[in-house]
Amino acid sequence: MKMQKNHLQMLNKNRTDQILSIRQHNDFIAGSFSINSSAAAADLNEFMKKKLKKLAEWVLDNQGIIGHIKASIEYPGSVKMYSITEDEVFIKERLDNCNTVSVAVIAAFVDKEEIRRQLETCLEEVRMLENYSDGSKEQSS
Amino acid sequence: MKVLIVGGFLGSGKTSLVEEIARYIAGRRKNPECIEVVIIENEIGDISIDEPFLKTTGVEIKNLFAGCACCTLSGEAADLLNMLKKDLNPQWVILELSGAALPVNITQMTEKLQIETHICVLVDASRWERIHIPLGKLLRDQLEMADIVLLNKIDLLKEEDIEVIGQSIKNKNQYMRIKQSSLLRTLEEGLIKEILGEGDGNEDAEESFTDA
Repeated sequence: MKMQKNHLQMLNKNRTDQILSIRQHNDFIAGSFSINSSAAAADLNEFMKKKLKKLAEWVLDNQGIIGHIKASIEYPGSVKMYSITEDEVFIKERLDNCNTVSVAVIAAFVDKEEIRRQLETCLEEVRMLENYSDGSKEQSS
Repeated sequence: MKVLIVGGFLGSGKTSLVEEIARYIAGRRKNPECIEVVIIENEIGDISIDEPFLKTTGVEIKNLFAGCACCTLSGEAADLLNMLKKDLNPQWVILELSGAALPVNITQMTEKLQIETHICVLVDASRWERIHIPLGKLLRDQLEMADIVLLNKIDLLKEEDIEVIGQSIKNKNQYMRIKQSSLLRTLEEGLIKEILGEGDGNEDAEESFTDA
């Protein structure tokens, strides 16, 4: 049972490494991932608003400077974009039926591996949303 | 083919401006056979969150990802501009630089390619106080050679703070033409024309800042 769990963790780690990219340009670290998700639109929407705020707080708490922290959820025929540079999340467009979730963080003066860990956590949380949402709920806002 | 370089630090509102100008140029299309505008998106990361959003303009988009058009991807940027000039020859190419790029490096490239180039640099007024010291050199270098500077997000500040920030930017280059813009309203046609170098040429730099 334990071996099976370790194997699953290893598979998940490999999947994460393939999806998540981290690049450095001078003082800036740019981390991003893009993933298909069947989680409910309303759950993804709530998650993104909270998560972007948390990522921004993390950069500022670590004396970094936010370049941008953005996410998008693409749907057939529409796209919703989230962005934060200080403390409020701005949202453009509206939701329909789910397709692709993308998150990108660019920050200066922060640790590259820490950004990777933050995005790994974010990616896992997006995946976990699929486990408890049935993908059929409508967005409330 | 002319090139509009849109530069400025991350989060300053470059993509919203590019979207607005692209819609404006596409909207005044006279010949349906002719391509009016192509957008080049440059990102230091591997993906662009803005790309699906910009696609809603219906304008052709080319990508320069995973590097900076002014340095690590300068060869690719020059090849792309050259290809666009030869194959598509649109009226305008709008090049949205990564937030870490220096527009002045691109002008050296477009000069060699003999392409008329205009530079618009955005400044996020709401974050200027926070970032202009730790990122002073980058911001100063980004502002160098700008034909016009848009002091953006002024709706998030008090009038007196806007004046102070405007002067602080102007201290870096007294000849700089600074205009104000806001998240809450679309740009006036006159300002878009000025950004595209299609203004009447009578704008006074000092007045531009206070009158915008």
